[in-house]
Amino acid sequence: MIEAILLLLLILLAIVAVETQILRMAVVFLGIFSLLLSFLYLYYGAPDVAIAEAVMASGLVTLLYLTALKRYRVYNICFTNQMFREVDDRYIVEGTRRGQLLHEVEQFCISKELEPQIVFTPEDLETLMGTRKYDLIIRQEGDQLTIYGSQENYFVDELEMLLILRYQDLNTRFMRYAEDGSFVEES
Amino acid sequence: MKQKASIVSSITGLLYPFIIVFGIYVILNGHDTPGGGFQGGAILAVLFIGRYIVAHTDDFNIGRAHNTEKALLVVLILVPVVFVFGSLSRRFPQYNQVYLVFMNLLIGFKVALGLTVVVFRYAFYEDR
Amino acid sequence: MRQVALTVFVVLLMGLVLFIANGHREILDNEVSAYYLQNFTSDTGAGNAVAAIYLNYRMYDTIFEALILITSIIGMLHFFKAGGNK
Repeated sequence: MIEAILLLLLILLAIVAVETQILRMAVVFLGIFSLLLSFLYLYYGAPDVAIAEAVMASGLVTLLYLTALKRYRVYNICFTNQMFREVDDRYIVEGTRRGQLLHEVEQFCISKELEPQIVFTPEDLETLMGTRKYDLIIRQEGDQLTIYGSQENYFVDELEMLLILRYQDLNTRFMRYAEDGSFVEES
Repeated sequence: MKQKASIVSSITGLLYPFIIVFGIYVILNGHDTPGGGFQGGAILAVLFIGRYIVAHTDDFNIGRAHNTEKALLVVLILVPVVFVFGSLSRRFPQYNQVYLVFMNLLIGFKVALGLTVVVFRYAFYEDR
Repeated sequence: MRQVALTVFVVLLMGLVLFIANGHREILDNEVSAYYLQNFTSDTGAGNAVAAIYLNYRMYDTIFEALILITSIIGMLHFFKAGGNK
């Protein structure tokens, strides 16, 4: 009975760990998986292997994965401007107030231990949203700057606070999108 | 990540002596009860790595630990070559237990140093 | 299409493995293990059969395991040479 429950839980946890979107949770599920596996070893009468499994897989490997996750996270930012067919980095970066905003976003990412990676494209919003490659999309239409961020990403909230405090003169607004790509109304 | 989580760090500080005692217990009783050098060494390694995760210490000298580990490996190869393959274990059966405990201690410290070096090297590398 | 083909392949493979494993009965010659279980205390003075095996009967195993660990550490130190504080 215990054996059957443990084996079924193992399969369930493995599937959940693979299917989870958030990597940190997947690591935690793998830790629980290893712990249950060590219980199973103990049940089968192999306490030596159980100790090794519990210490190595559920302690060391989890710590190693967490260190790796904490250290290296790339934050993809996309700056899109459909008005200009030819994209020129200098137009955005040099000296202007918008360049300052972009710089501020970069600094914010670095302070959060994310590695900012900014891409400039002339593509339209639908294509960019469809690829799902970007965590933050900044779109310029004439004077209007719109920043699209995922609803579940809590960095976007902090970024919004920061930008609203410092860049009131720019015509900036924030949009959130849900997991399925539909926009969420700002409350 | 410069600020410390005070609850986690104080609880881990309370746990250090227990982890040390447990690891050495597992190593020293490896010849009589389940456990042994490898498992106890891994427990001791978890101690060092947990200390790094909590307090972000970088006072661990990787080069010295690596050299110590190499020296331990030489002893680890020499002792059984002399004792087991030289069939001293049959001639002097009264030293068998001493040999087992000594080997477990060697393996334990070697594994602890090795795993700690791996994780610390990795963490420092990513720390750039 | 590719996904469906892969799924079918994996399910078929799983069925094959389960089918083979179900009819398989391995009968091992347990002469050696019986000898170890009877004589390990008098031979090596250990109370734990696992310790007796990995520190006395199968010593080569332990030596090369320690060698594997140190080889992997040397490789890791070599490849992560850049950066770090030491």
